[in-house]
Amino acid sequence: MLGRVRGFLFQIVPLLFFVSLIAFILTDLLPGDAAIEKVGLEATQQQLEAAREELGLNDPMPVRYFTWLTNALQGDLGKSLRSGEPVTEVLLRRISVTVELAVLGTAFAVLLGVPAGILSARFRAGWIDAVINFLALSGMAIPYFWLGLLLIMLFSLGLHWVPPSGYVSFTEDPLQHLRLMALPTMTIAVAFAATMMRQTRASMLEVMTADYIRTARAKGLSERKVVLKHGLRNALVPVITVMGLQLGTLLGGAIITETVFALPGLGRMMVDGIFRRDFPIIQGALLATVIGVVLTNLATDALYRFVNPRIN
Amino acid sequence: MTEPLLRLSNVTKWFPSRQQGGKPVQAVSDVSLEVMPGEVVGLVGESGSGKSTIGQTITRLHDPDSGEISIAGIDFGGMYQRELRKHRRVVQMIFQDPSSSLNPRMRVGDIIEEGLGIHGLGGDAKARKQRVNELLELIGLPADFARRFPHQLSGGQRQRVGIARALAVEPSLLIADEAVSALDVSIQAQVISLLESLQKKLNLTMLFISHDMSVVEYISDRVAVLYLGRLVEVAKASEIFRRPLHPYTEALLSAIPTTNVKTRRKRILLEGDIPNPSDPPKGCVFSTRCPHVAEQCKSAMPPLVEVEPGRFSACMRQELFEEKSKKAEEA
Repeated sequence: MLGRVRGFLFQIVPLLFFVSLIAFILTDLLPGDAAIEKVGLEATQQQLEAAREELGLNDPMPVRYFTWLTNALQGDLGKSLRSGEPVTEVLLRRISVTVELAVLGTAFAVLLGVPAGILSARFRAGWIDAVINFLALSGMAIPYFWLGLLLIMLFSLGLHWVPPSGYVSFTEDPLQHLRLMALPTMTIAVAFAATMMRQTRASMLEVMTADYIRTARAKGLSERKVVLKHGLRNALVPVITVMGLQLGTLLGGAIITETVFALPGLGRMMVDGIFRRDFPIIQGALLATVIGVVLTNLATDALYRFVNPRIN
Repeated sequence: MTEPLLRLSNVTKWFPSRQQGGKPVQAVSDVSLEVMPGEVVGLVGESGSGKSTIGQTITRLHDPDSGEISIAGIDFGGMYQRELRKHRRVVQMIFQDPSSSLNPRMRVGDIIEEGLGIHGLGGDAKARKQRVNELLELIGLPADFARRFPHQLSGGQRQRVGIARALAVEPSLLIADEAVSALDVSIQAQVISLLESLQKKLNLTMLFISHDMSVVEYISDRVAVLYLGRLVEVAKASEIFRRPLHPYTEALLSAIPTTNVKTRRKRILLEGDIPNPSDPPKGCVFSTRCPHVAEQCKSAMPPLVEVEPGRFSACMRQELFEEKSKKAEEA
């Protein structure tokens, strides 16, 4: 156990340093001048110089990175150029929305995709399989922004079930909160569910030809038990791997989804930051996103060990 | 006279061709066989002769196309799925590959116990656990193996688990389908003697499917020889090995390797491969490879007839072997 923790640290620490470097350089490469953003276009040359000095922009890049990193390690990611608010505070407020979206989306995708995959494999080549496959392929092909708009047209403008966009925190009004999260969750989950379904189907088809499935049938198990207990448990291993990989894609989808539905999440924080050339905000959001992806992958690894006893 | 425990009457199993409009594969044709309680019958034949198909048809992992299968007096072959499931415990199978036949995600104890739960045997959870320990002891594994996963066991230990899980539900008939073929020779001997001692101890009725003649000779009371999905000879093990009647059996036995120069038999080499089972030869199925083939062999498949008390053979040219046995007696 201790060895695994140590291996984990050896893996994650250099990775995070590398990631922080990329986040810093990429932002540095963006066009625009942070000092102008801070003092405005009408400022005098002197004011501009003063702002440059204050932001440390006159230092060479490695020095700036080192200063930024030292601060970042202490939890200080700088202040927003626009509002002056500390980036860490903005992040903490925004990250919960994206995490909620990701968790709800994943849950929805798994609850929809895995049973659909099982059904599809069980009734392979029949009409159920054909319908599910058609839906899955459509789900994978449809872009997030278009799907989001279609859902708004159907459920908000057409049926008036839920408001089209906006955000209310859960503590403020739980019911309204969930109503507002419903469409974004569906938007982000459809492609994910489709991938889950395809993976579950392929994996089930393979597992169901295994010898131990024959053994289970010979024991006299009902077909339902054979499929769910012996088949599914073994088929889930690759499904979990793909789920972990898909979580990265999900965060990309969150950027678009949050923009379409006007949700104050991490993705929109990044997009807004880019439009306003608010460099500390971009860096913070980028860093948080990448760390999120790295951590989910490590969590998937751990989960994978848990479901597959042969790995240990 | 006691009733046979397993009775196969004219059992046939055809598999549809994979190609569109192709002829079906005749895996098992018109097989009739009886196995008495407590008897071990060896089923031998080369690859593709339909040995495993017979085993899997008896256990209803495949459904027979025609013919009757009765086990312990119940019509097992004609049952519908729902009813069949309740009776599954009557016949259990030990599979060839112990590594892939055990669910890798389940612990040994759960694998053995599962059958008990399904069929409502072994009482409550505690009693069932006790029963699992007994079964582990029976097959010679320590009780703490119940907590292990299959991949933590050696091949021989896995096959022991396969045997324990088959025996767990106290089947009337045990089918061992190439139960030792996937094991090392040294382990084969252990598992065979385990099966033999279990058979004696529990008075098991067993159908022992194998392509290994020496293993079959060791464990069987009677031997049935299969060629291209048809039985060509059935006889007591001691007799069939001493004096095979059917030309195919003779060829099969001549292929057993021996280290004793005196008992070394003249090897009869059969030419070519077993014919395509979707397009079997017109007359006798063995006619294309038989060293004694005559004109009459190409007209029809000879039926399995009782040529001597308790000895069955399916050959047109029985006179050949009668001559031979006379010679053997005179000498």
